[in-house]
Amino acid sequence: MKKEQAINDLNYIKQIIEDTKKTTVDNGIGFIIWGIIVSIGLVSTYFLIITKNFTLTTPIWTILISGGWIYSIIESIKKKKRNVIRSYTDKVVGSVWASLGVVMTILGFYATIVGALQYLYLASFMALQVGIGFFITATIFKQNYMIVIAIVWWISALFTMAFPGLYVLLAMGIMMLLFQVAPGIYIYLNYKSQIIEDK
Amino acid sequence: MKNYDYQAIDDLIHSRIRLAIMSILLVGEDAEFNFIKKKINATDGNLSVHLRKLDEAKYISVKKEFIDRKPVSKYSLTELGRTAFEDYIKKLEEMIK
Repeated sequence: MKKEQAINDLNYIKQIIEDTKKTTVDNGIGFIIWGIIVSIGLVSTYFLIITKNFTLTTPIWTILISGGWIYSIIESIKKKKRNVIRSYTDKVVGSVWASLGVVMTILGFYATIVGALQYLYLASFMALQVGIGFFITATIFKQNYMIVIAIVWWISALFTMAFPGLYVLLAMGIMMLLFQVAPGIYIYLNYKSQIIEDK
Repeated sequence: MKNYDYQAIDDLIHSRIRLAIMSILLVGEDAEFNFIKKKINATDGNLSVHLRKLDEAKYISVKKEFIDRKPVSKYSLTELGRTAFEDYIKKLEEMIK
């Protein structure tokens, strides 16, 4: 085999691998669903607290988070069947977000109840973890805009830790729409255009 | 100790179509027949022949299942195939040094 042919073959392999990776992008629906769920939870908690309906917060969060987990489990089963290719990167990113979801559920429903974490700082800790999720996703899928989103989440965590208050619930609710749901819609639109391109 | 013939690997992977199949399977845990076919722009018959060759060499494995009552063949790289492909790439890299 000649040197030129070896270079050609390596380029060919690289091209196919890059092209195949493009097909394995997330559809973004998980980002949208979870963003809306948490946003509804945070904003409704804000209004329940200012109207002094404290007893309703736990049932509302229980319903919302359970609904989110049921959706995620059903979706992961469907995805396993639907996907024409199952990539390792999809698997890693899926596992990262699932484990972050478990940690957030533990923090929200356990750490705050046993007193390991104050309610006041819950949203800040969640912002830290959402930042981790976006940073890892950005690195794996080479999506630089997600690194910016991760940094925004981490800065918001620093700010809300330094200046805690009831407003954090409302601010985080809005941030969820801007920096979780909106990127989810962007990913979804990219996914749709990729599918049309493949057809 | 390697449990495959080094010369045989070269011949088996070196064909363009099989090189493409191996590259696709390297990215995914598994891939459907139709996905591979679309990606490499091959006919059913041609692709089947090359997939069979790789399967016979135990470089890939095939799993047949039913999705929405339709038969679907899913292919994945075996450990032997992954090692052989990695060695093949290493050999190419050595050649261009």
